[in-house]
Amino acid sequence: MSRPLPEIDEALQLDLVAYLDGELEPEQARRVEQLLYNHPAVQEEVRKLEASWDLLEELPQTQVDEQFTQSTVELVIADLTQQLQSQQQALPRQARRWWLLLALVLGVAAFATVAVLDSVWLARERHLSQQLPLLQRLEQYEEVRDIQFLEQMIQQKLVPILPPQPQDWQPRSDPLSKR
Amino acid sequence: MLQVRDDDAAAFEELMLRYQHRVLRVLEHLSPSRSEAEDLTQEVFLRVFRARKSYTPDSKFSTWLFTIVHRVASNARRNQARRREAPLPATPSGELAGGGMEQLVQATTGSMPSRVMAKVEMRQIVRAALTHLNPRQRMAVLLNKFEGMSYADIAETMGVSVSAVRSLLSRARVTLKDVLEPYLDQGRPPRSHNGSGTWASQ
Repeated sequence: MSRPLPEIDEALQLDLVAYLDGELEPEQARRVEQLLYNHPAVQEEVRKLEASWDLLEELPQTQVDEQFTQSTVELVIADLTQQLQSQQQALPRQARRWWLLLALVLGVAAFATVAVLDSVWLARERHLSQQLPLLQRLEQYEEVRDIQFLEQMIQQKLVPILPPQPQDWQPRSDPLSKR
Repeated sequence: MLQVRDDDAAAFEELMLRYQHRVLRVLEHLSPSRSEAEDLTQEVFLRVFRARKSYTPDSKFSTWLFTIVHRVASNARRNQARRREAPLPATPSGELAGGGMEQLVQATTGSMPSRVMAKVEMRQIVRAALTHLNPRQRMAVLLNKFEGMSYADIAETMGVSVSAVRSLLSRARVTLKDVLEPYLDQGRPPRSHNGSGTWASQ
């Protein structure tokens, strides 16, 4: 018994082509095979699709000669050479940039070093200048050998009073305190 | 390709020898002339070499290669459209010439022995039939027919969905069937198509 012929529309043609290409799911493929079995018109459509597709095999095989390969390789080499040249040209510019950056970093580092050394040196100088009156009379104070007497002299302002010094600059041992 | 990626020049030459005729065959049917197809083939391999470092063996090499072919062909088509050059039909060697398809077949086969003539005529007709497809359909047909690519691989190559490929191929095959039917049934050449074998027709 023959079933009604389905219209060979775009949807069916999609399925037929996918069937010929082996791209249908098994279930869909079985459905197409059923249609082919039942409808000669569908068979004819598939035959025509296949025949026209097979004709593409008649197109001539493309031949490529050795010269073509050689010229392509030469083209690639020329391109590579050009790339390398442009890289080499860019290199001095890049190197110059690096040198400038290095000089800048070194300059900043030198400035910072000088600033730190300068501040340390100044602090030491300031400390020595503050202690100068004491240093100038150190020998005389050592001859006194009596701390209470010295304290009395300080109270009577006969000995210069030194301002309080930072801990770092205080002598570890006071020669007067030993006596 | 992995050797090419590692700057092996001999491997690149070997790769070219293996694939250049396949690339040229596809581009020949997408270009207005053989010389144009050769130029584009060279450009493809130049791009392959330039992109060698970015190649990863995640997908098939042929898919990667024909993705480049597809891009090069698309760019050439766009450039051609911009230049708006006057289209000319193709000769047997793929070179440009004047005249319609039927006249061309007659001119080409007029002085040949009948068997050779039939073969040449058939090639001309099939070539002309391909010009009835739009460029995307033609690309899908060439990849499917000559490269044996699956729908999924064609989709990856052309940057479209699998269902789009299915649709492209279905329409292309129906068009080819319709165009070639008179030839298959009665041996008559198909009707001429404007601008056969040119970028402008795509």
